[in-house]
Amino acid sequence: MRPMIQFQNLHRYFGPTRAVNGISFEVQQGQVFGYIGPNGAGKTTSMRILATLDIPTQGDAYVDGFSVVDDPDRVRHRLGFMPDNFGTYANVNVREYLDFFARAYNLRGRQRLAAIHRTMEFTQLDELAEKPINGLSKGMKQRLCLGRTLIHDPPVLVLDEPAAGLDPRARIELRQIIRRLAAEGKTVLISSHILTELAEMCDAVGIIERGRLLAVGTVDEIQKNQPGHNAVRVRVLGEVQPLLTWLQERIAIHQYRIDGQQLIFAHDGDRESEADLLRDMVLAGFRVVEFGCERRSLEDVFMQVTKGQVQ
Amino acid sequence: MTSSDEAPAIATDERGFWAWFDTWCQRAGEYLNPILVKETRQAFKSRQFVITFSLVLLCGWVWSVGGLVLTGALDGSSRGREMFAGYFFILGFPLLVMVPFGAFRSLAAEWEDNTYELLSISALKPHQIVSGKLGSSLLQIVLYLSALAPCLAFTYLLRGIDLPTIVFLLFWMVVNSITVTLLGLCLATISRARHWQVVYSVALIAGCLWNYGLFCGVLTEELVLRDRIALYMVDPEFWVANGIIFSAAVGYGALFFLIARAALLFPSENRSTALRICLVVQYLLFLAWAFWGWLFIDPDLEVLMSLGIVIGLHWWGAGAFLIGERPELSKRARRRLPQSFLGRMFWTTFNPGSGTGYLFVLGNLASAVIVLAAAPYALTALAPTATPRIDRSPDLALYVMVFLGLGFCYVTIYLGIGRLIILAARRFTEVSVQLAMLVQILLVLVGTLGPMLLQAWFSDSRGYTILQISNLFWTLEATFRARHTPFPELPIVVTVLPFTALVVLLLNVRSVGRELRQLRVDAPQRVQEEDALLHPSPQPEPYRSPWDEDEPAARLTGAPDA
Ligand SMILES: Nc1ncnc2c1ncn2[C@@H]1O[C@H](COP(=O)(O)OP(=O)(O)O)[C@@H](O)[C@H]1O
Ligand SMILES: [Mg+2]
Repeated sequence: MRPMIQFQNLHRYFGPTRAVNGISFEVQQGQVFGYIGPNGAGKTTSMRILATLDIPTQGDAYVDGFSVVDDPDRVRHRLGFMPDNFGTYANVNVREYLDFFARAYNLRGRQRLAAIHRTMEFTQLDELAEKPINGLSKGMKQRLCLGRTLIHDPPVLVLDEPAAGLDPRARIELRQIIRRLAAEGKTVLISSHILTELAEMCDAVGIIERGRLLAVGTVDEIQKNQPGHNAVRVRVLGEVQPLLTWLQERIAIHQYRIDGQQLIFAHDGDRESEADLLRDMVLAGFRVVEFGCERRSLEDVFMQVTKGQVQ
Repeated sequence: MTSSDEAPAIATDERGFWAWFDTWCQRAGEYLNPILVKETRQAFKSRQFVITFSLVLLCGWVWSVGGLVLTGALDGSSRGREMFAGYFFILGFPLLVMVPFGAFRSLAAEWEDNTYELLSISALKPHQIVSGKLGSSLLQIVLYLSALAPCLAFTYLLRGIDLPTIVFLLFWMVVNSITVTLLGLCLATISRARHWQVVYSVALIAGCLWNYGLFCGVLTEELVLRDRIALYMVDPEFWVANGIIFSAAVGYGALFFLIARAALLFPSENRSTALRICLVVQYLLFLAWAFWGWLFIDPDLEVLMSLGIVIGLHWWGAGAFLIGERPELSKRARRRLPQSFLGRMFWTTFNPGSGTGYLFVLGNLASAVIVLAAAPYALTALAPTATPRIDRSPDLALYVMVFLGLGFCYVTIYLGIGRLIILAARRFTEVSVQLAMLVQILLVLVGTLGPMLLQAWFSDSRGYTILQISNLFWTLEATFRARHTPFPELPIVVTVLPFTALVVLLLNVRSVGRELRQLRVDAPQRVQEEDALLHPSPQPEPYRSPWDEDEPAARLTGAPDA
């Protein structure tokens, strides 16, 4: 299947700064892709290229198979872009703002009115319709901007740090909106500098730093690829030491700690191997009363992947 | 706003003509430029617009009362002219200063307020953005005109000024206003850097004020107060001049529009071909008017040299920008290159690129030189006895030819060297079109001021010396006068310049050739697929038997005008 978003060896230099330095990945239709990296990593730069606001120094990016360099008009038609900061017009209210962009996307008559209506309903802007934009709060403005992004019903959405500066409630609402959009079949590329913010709603994430993509995949996969990503905790009746000896014969245990009747050790396997381990333990005659696996926290993974370097 | 929400519903309402008119307006509103709609809404809510509009009205009324007293129109004499002059100045300020500057600010503010990017990635094309801004300026012009219309009608009633004069003057004011507005829009797009925007806005406001003073001052003085218009109206030269000025206004207006559009186009788009077509049209229009005037009004051979100067400046100025274009064509631009032999012959120089630009300018200039140099002979052949007052000695015709030829050599040399410098600089850094223009200006300054300073320092001679050969203005001036004032260096000039021009041309040949060899590329597979889907080529309908089930035809939905 043709990917909806595809970066192909994308580079963008600003003088000596290599803001984007060879990024390649794909996002399939209906996926929500989280684009995560510290400030200055090159997220905005690459998203702007995808939105046809800038051109790459080298490489190319494709939206639904169309090059952002050679066919910007076809890309624009399919893509809604929400920039991280944007200006608004003076003396324009919410409805007029949406009306303007609906017209700018060639929506006419009934179609335009329907688009405005649908967008205002979707983003719950109805009660603000007659409010001047310059009087809106940050959260409302973000919602309006998201509405504007959706006005021509594009199949691909590119959202640059949409949650920045929102209160917790607005963040939750935003997450719900994005889930609904994905459920409608839209492809979403969303950026943030906070991994946990995106982890739940993304089908896949890419971690970017200094213009390079360090890891791509589902959050699980990325977590798994980090050595010692699970902490297994076993509580048995009786002595712990025999269990440890038994375990050390079976698998390599890097780090362990004995805490009373509890043994805690780092383990690299997946769910299945954990289940097998438990079964074997019980079959071997250990009287297990508690068995738990804890994932390393996302923050830990993020800190481990990125090295905290900015250019 | 609320009324447009009900747009589709009104159509069914039966209220006769007005219902029809209303629906019609709504329909038309759908197709109005979105920027025009938005800016009109904004304007009516903005305090600034309301204040300026009221001020203009107020000035009109104050002059109506004060003017009547001052000019003494109350005692029954016909003072329409003086009253009109006052209104003309009042109207001129918004039309010639505020509207153009407002258009400039309105476009420049899109960058400053960070609103342009969202606009640029919508389906709006750059020409729609420029014409939207122009449209809202036109609307303002109409509003200001209608605000003062009662006053203008009133001056007609006062007598002393006739209707054709009023219409004539207002016509030119509107033309002037639109042209300057387009210039303002063009300047706003040339550079997005803050400091350049400041430079351009100062230059524009100064230019607007100067234009306002000159235009209103000269026209009211000459045509209104002195009442010479009746004399002018019977003079053919007056109408030729009007024609030339009008053509120039339309031509430059179109050029400014296209420059603004080109500056807003996506980098991979062809930014140049439309501009080049406009330049040729302008040139041909000027040539047509000038010849007509030359033949029927003043067939003096020296006039041909002046025409040559104007045409030379036109192409030189255009060339200074065109040689700054990037030499590589984007894949997108190459999709539309001419493919046939004839197409490539005639259209290749219209392709974007600094080398094609150089060739394009030289080709057009050469055509002008040939036409102008041949004109005296053509005149002799066609009308051997007509207009005996002109000096048609072969000697003078030769001077015309030498003068035009030297001018051509200078343009070839300066543009050619400028182009080589830009090509070299491109290896190290970005060179914008604006910078390319600066290179050309610098080159001319060095070429003219350099030898003048050298001569001033090292020699006592005040007259022309061969040192000045790079100084095109002095050399051409000396050639212009060579029939009356001796110009002993002419033989050297006539040998050295063509030779230098040839050398510069040869130095440029390789890089120009590389540009000319660029060929058309096919659109990518994906684009062809979509085009086939959107515009299916007419195929014979598949045969359907009457027994086939009637299925709703699969509708092709997709990009409306991608
Ligand atoms: N227009 C520009 N000119 C020069 N440098 C830029 C420009 N835009 C971005 N950069 C640089 O590129 C790098 C990446 O920036 P950006 O993409 O905005 O990061 P992010 O969005 O991930 O925080 C930064 O070092 C930034 O300073
Ligand atoms: Mg950013």
